[in-house]
Amino acid sequence: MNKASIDLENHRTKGSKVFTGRERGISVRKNTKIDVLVKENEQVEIIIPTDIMSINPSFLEEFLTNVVKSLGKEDFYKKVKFSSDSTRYDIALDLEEAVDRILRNENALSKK
Amino acid sequence: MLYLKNNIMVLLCIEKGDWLNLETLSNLSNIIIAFLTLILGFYVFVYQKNKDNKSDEETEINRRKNIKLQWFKEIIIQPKIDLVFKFYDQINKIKGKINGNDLNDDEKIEIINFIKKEQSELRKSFLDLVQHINNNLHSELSLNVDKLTDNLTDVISNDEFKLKNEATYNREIKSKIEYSYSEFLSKIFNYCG
Repeated sequence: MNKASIDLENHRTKGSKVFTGRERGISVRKNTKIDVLVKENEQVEIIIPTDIMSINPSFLEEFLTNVVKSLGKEDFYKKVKFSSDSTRYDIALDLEEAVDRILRNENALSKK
Repeated sequence: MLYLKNNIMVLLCIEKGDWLNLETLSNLSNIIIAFLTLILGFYVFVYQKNKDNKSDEETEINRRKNIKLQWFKEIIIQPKIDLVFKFYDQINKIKGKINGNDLNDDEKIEIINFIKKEQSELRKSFLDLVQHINNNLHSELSLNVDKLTDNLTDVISNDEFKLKNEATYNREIKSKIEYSYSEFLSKIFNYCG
């Protein structure tokens, strides 16, 4: 099984323990080439640094927008896995919020 | 009458035989004037008709816009505006959650999670409804709330800010909440459909 991984450690702002902002999300999406990795691999693992306190939905929405739109909710969760050794930060709710927002925006645009 | 005609002919130095030509010219000019009057009348008619049609279209557009605005006000703003006030009230409560200048990571995560939870509730209860009415307004409001959440997340996660200090709190948190609040309300109340 082809598997790729993205370590967010390599894309965080120096000294920061959070990932916030749409612009940062766009920048990390382009730098990691996540859209291509997801197309070319059966699974993509995104590694969250241990000391991270938050990955905000604004960041995730832009970071994952193309992947969620192309895969849909179910396949996205099957194909893209987040992993972390942290016991204090759980990305689940932020991820759910971001995925929900991406799909809602897509629906709103397609109705136009 | 004949005397007058002769006088005019003398005055214009016209020979008697030429009078016929003058009459022809007069007739011709009458025809031209009548033709121009007809064209002008037709132009005024067409212009007025177009203007009336345009005016009817504008009235119809304004009527639809007003109906839409009225629905927006009655279905979303009036029953749901309290949720916006509640959101900002809740966000202001983070002051009570900042127990000291040196919060540990777990305390910081708890405050950040609280802000994100409130934002998510505002989205589900208010912003998603706005999205059905106007996508641009929804985007502007969402960006505003995202910006507030991100700013507060950045500040709270940053060890350098001593947030128990009143001046630091006001500068880094309170002012940002107030700015977001006034901008949010301004965007809603300036919405014209």
